[in-house]
Amino acid sequence: MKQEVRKAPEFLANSVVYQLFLRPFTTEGTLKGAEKMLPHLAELGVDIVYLTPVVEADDDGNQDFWSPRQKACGLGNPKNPYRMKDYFQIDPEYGTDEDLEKFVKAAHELGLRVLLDLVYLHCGPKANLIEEHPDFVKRDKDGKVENGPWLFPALNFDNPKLREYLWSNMEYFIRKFDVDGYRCDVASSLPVDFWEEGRRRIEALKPDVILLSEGERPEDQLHAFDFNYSFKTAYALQDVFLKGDSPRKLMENWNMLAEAFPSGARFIHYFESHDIVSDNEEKRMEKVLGPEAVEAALAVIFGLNGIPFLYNGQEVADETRHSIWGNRFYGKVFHINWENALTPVGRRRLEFVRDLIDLRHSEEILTNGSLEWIENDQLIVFKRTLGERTLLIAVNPAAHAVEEEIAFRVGRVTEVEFLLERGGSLIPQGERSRISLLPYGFFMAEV
Amino acid sequence: MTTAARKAPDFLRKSVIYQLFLRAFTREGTLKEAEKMLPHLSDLGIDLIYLCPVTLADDDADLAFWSPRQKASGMDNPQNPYRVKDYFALDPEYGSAADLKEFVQAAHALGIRVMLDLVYYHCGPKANLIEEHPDFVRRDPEGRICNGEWCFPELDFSNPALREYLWGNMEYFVREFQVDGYRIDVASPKIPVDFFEEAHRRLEVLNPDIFLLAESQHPDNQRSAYDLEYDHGSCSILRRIFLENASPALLQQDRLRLETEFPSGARFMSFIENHDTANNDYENRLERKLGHRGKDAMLTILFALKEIPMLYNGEEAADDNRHSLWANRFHGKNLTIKWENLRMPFGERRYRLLRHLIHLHRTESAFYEGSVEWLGGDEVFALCRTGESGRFLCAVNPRGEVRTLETPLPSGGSWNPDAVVLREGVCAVQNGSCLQLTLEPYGYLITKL
Repeated sequence: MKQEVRKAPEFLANSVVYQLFLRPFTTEGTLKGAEKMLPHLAELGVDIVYLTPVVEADDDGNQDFWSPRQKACGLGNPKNPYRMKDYFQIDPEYGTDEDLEKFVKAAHELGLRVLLDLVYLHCGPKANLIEEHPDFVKRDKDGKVENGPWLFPALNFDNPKLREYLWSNMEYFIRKFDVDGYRCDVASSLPVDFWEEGRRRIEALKPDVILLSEGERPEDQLHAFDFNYSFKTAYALQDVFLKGDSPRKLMENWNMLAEAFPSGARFIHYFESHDIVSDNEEKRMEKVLGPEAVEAALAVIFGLNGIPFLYNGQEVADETRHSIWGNRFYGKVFHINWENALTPVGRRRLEFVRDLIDLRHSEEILTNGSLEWIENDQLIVFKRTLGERTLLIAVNPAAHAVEEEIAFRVGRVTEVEFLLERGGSLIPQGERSRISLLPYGFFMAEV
Repeated sequence: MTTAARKAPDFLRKSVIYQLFLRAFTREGTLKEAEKMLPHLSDLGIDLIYLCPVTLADDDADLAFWSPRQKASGMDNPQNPYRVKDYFALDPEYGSAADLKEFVQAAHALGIRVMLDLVYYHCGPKANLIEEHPDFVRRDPEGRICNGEWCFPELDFSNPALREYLWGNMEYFVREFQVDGYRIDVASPKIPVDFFEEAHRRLEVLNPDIFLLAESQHPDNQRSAYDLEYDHGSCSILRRIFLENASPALLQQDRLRLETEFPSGARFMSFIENHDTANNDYENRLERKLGHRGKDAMLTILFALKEIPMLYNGEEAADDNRHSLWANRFHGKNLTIKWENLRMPFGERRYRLLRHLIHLHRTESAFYEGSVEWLGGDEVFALCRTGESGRFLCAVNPRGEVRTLETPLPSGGSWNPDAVVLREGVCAVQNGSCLQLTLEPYGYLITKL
């Protein structure tokens, strides 16, 4: 018998997560500026705002400790938000303690939850924790600090004192700032028992706290985490759209994850994140594929079983280059192109994202229905089932029109009803059904 | 004044003008991107766009021909849009001739007219017109080119061939691009008014509804050359009142001046900001100095006036960013309109307010042609606009503190809370034939009486 995942707070299943990366979010890239945008996110319908790290980044200029990406970006900014100098300080680039407090409070007033980002695998080479506690980082036999995969000093989880230190860090932001949980960077590379104890401690402060693991370790959701990243499905989705790989790849990767994880596992589904966007540089999905394709991908993400995840400005079809290192001091113009919200493409996107989120909030079948893939050569097709209801979801990931016959019997006697449709049709043919979709067309059909 | 201003196309008085400065308008700063924003301007209610110069700017790097402002900008951009190299070519920075055609077409499809900006007082030091026609620029007895006020070569309007050349230029954009009118940079008296009198005649042949806007204020402007001219007082005096505590009565006096010193029926374009003030304010834009609420109040009084209002690039988003005439996608950083403001509460509030004010100006005869009766005192603006569509009381507190005002109601007028059109921080009580108003800091009220 397969193990079950831990029970997560009830709101999670029909939540939509929004990654708010401050540097490209507004012109200034501050918490104050972002706070003024919270009504926009609330109006959009987002439930959970995941804020990329706001604690003080290490400004060490020694490039031996810069990741290859940081050097390659060409911006010369020593501060990587994922390379911490002080786990308890807010980086003045983003604001003050008070600004974060106000941000969280304003979010709560609008019914939004706030997740902070914890980066515990490594720290900056000049992190004050190394100086204060030389044994908090891994060291070789000669006492030299050991670097992790990104060239930054690796924290030493064999040291119980380090664990205590970080648990108190997790408690600190909940106690002082009332945050609602954490997104945990590279979480699957840290001992799962560290997270399990961390969770116990913060649950004592806030029973419905949520933890998101950036990783795919099957044990994560047994006791520690509420949901995980799904690199496998995310990359498969990209490959299907960008490289024209068979939609079967998405199904196969999905199944792999489902098999590996305990039953009931929850995953976020996304098309972009700060990493993907930063690595794509000028080649944003919106530019390479076009906004129609991104909308088709969003239709998949919002149709799947799991938690839809939007990235910073996706709701206005932002096509700007974002860099993890671009901010008001470095780089030219790397923030969200908010003028899009006033152009036809951006207006359509805003409306579309609102519609998708509304569906997520109103249709239990999307959040709690089971999922079954319907294999075919060209289209992403799956059905969601809950009680008597069945939704057939089909998306064309290609820039050309597609007709497919699938092994699916439409059970409905009345006419097929679309919850969402763009350039698509569904014709029942007994035991089979014929789907026609225009380039990047899609539908969610009540069948 | 006994003479009357020339007849202007009727739509002009009901128009609200939007100055679109491409470089700061979108990130790319191109006509193509601006075209995508036209539905936004149309939703706002704008029906007339004044596009800053789009013809090829001179890229001469010789600092001797840079204006002091250009040097002070720190942008190191040789191209000043107001220093033209070729009057007939589109600057590739903004796009192609086809892009301008499409822009105008798209605007027309939305019911928006388009005005181009003509810079005829001077040209760039490397303007091709100097090479092709050495006698098109003013020269001293030794044959050296005379520079005008901004250090650029001055065009020689005593040369009939230059006049023909420029008339041809004006006809070109009307004929080829279907533009609807022109804003004339500098204008009278530096450029002879009779040049534009003839220009108007020639352009009318191509488009009977053509109109010309003079950047200057001059009693001769509207006799027969121009349809409209700048109301610089609205900009400078409103600033003095709001920022330096001057009395609102100053504005009233200035309006009186407009009525007495100009031909009767003269039309003026009022504004608070333009590309020049925005440039010169650097980081200290009016929105920052005064705050967004103060600016809301300022815009409300601007629209309560008789003049034809112009909005500048992003005022509808309460944009407070630095704009520089020399900043574009190649020079400077982040000096474009902060459109994100429209997703924020104060930006949405501004947008709603302006939409409302624009609607009033375009649809209520009391606003676009009604009479003005000043009721205010030394601390508060109060005026009555009366037209066929009725009578409106407009009151605005230009101070950052509470102010009160007691004003006799015009005969037959009474306070009716249900007739309020716009109200922000104003309490009103009728006391016999008087209206007592308490206005919160920068409070404003427009109500039908």
